[in-house]
Amino acid sequence: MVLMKPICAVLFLLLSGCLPKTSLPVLLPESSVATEVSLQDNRGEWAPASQELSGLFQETFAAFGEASAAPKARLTFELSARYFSQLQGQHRWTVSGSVSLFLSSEDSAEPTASTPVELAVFLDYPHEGEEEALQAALPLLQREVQDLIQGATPTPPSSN
Amino acid sequence: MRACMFGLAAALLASPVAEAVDADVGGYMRVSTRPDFQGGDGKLGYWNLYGRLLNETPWVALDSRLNLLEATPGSGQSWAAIHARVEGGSILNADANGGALSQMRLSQLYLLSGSSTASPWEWQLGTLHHWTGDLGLYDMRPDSLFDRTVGGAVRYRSDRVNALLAVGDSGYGLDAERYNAVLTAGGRLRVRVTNRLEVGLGGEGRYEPASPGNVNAPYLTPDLDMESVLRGEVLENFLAENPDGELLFPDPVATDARSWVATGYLGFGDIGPLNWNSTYVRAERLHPEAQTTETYNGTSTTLYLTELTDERTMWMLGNEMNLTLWPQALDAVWGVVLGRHTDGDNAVAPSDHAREYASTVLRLQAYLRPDVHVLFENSFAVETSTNGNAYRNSVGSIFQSQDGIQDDRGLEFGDADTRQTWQGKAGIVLNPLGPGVYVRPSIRLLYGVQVSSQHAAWGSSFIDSQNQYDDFYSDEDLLTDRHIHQVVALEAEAWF
Repeated sequence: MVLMKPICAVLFLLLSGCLPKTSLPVLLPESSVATEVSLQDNRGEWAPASQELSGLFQETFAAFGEASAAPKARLTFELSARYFSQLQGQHRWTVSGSVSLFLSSEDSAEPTASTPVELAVFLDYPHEGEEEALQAALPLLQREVQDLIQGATPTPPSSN
Repeated sequence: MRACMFGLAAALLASPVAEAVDADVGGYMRVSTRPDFQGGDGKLGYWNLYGRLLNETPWVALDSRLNLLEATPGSGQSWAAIHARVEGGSILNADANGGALSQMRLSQLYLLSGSSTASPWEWQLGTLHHWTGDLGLYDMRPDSLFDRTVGGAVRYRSDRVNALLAVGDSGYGLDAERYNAVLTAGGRLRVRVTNRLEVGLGGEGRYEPASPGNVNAPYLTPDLDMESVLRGEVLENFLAENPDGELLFPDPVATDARSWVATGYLGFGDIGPLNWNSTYVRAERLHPEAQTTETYNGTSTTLYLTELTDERTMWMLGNEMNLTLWPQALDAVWGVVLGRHTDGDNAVAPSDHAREYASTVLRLQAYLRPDVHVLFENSFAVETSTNGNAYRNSVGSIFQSQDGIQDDRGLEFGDADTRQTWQGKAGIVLNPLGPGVYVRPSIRLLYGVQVSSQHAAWGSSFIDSQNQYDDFYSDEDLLTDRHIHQVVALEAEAWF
């Protein structure tokens, strides 16, 4: 009985180690990733995101590339956030717009790939607004970007 | 009013415009299995005062927004949308109601409209239920207004100021079976003073005018006393004093009825480990009850209760503090709820309108990995009946009341006026979207234990009448007090 507690703790840690890992894969190994975020307000006007939000996007999506490589890939986010309603203690917002991937190092008007997004995000407090909604959308945008990059880049040959 | 809203929604959806309608659907679900081997219904305790976790039932909500007129941002075009919410607490095989649609309700339906997307003004027509935020640990909304009102409102939304002015009718909301118009008006103002400080005030007044001749309007039956009403002996006593005097029973007298709600909100945060603190206060004078029916010796009479139930008041304070104790490793949420309900008309019997309560809940969530968390929750609550005993501390206490003295005519119940409840909960949480106490979806495996001063303080199937004891208790040793309750739960919860 004395050993039960440590045995349970060890078993738990072992089991949790069996769960799938969640770290982002490096999908663009020969390039670093630069991000641009612009937001549309309710008057329809576009403006660059705040420095804090831009920094957060850059930090998040840089993980798809190699930090030490030359910048070749660019991700642009054109997004807006709109309040939906209160739902069981959370404030539902809808983040919509588009995400575009540019794989050329030169400025190009045409993206390599682009995808529209419409994501539901949930905020804890009534004072939180568009910026917080876009921050809350980051985990979902990661998935969208991962799909976008994988669709736009050739699949590496299988090792088998 | 609700019929009009249904009609409007149906007409708009059936019109040719409906083909172009853009819709967005959100929602919420929680479902769980909590096999209970202690005769309970799967809930750890009686209610959310001990924290909502393990004390709540399944719930599902679908909230839709139909954009009837969608404006291009910056175009100056007007816009209109319909919000409709259907929700309820029954899921097949998860509760006693078997997922019946009769357990679901159309809890919100309103038309929202504005002159342009750039304008801060909006118009709302339909249900008006409005609240600033929730106490997430308790699933309570202390500052909710217009819970029972249908009407119209004008709203102002800007970065710093949110305001609402509303007027409507709460007649169906207060008593759907005996509708009488209850004029309701009020509003709310919330101001963000700085990015770290918000304050809000709100209020609602209700007035139900006298309407002689309308049987559903407020009346009072003269010379009623609370004790006789509670015992159901008003007619019996009257006939004892007036043999063969059924026709002499006093006629009701028309009167009016009033009630009100006042709320306050203080939010501040982004100070050290404190992410945000929300404080809500609520004071309310409850709307009087309308009537009840008594039958004696085959004669029935209606007693009109407005005067006997018009001094019920309550106040409540709720606070919830969200803390990051160790970034990306340990978060905490600490909640406190205090409340007092008084009934100036009733000094003789315990009730929900004569009680005090205090509760605190602390939840800690540690992140083993971004998607694997460990949850601990601890709660303690004290509930006191201010009109005498209301709780049974022992399995045998149903046979005594009023300080242990047998009193078959007593209005009290049990042998204690105070209930103390402690709950501890712990478990594993899987959150695919990463850290955060309220981040969902969540899959939870939880264990909970409750220790209460009350015997069998959870929804249970234990017998509680003397004539069943011989049938269900063959061995006297089985007559044991049950102060500890344990459950294990597998739950899923998501917003979408």
